[in-house]
Amino acid sequence: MMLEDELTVSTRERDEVAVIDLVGDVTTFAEEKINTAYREVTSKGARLVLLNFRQNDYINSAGIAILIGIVTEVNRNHQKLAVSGLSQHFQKIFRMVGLAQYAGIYQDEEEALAGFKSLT
Amino acid sequence: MRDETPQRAFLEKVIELRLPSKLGYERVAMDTASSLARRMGFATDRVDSLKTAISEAVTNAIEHGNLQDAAMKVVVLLTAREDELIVSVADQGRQQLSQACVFTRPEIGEAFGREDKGGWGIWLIRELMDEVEFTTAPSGGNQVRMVIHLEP
Amino acid sequence: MSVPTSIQTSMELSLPSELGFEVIARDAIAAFARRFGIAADRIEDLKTVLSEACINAIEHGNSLQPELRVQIFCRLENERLIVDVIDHGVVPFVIQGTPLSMVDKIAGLGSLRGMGLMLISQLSDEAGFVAGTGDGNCFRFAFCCQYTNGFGH
Repeated sequence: MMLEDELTVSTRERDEVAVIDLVGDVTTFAEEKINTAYREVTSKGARLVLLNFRQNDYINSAGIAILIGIVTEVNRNHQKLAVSGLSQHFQKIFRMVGLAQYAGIYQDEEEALAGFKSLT
Repeated sequence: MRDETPQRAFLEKVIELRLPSKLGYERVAMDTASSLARRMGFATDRVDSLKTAISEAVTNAIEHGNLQDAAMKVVVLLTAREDELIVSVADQGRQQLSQACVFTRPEIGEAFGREDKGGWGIWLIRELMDEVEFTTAPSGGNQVRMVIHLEP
Repeated sequence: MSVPTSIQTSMELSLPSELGFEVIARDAIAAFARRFGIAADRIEDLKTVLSEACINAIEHGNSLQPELRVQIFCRLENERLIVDVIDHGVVPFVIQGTPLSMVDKIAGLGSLRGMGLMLISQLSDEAGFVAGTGDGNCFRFAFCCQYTNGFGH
């Protein structure tokens, strides 16, 4: 009955990039869904991972901690990570926290895919 | 309970919100504060900063101050003044906020090695708000007072 | 430790008794209602009902005295969202008979007062003044929760 979990996570592949779509709130309740999606694409051999945010008007510090966990795994697994679709505010927060040093931050999915292409 | 300074009381408009200590209710505080801030004339980016700061403060009160005991309340006071919005968030202090937490500057490089990758909340509040003060209420509860200035 | 559900699912809001603040209350209650998966169109109804109830409290119950306050208690009980709007009762509520119909009002019969109550009764599942705990008027309205997204029953 309670809507604790207002996040939808899904995965797809585009131009050899594993895209994880995150629609909704990224808070402490998001942990299992995000980690499951990441493990799924990793087990399929993904080298390039894009976290594609959509309509996320609420990301909090617990959500940021989950994403730092993903960065840790990405580094361990020698993958590349990018982030797209964040509002100006959350782009700012990601830079403040230092996530921008470990993941390319792009305006949208197309820009992120182009960014990955320039790396390879 | 008449205020000693009626003129000031007249200029200040206070909205009080009492929420159960259950994660998710911080959304109510965020939406109420942003509704007020937008109507006071704050720019969108400032409203977004306020929303993040208040969500962190209320989440802290729920998780740490009240240890997620839903029967305990988190009290949010929104005081609208001509040139600023003051937000105060108070819990019932089942657990005291350590002074060390108040001034931490987390480093992402260190966070990778930690089991707990959190601890960003208070730092974010400090970064996003114009004035921040952590105090302990006489009742023992933790209080945070945050101010955001309305620039002309 | 178990906590009664009504405590876990209740909140209180207190506002200056001044026109304009009901707009803030609308956004607060919408956020509260969204937590229970109430359908978007019902949330719009709820916002309208709450603002009409607040305006009544501000204009009538508190007689437009800006130093007074309006209290709002919201809770979820037995799958109903119940809201109490409490004023100081400067003007106690008196039953004024059946409100005029829309046709009568448009025809210019009677004042526009009571329009708010008419909207409230049409949009909510239940509404009316109840005996409050203090001296003020306590106006209560309820919405049955019709869950969306497969939540609830």
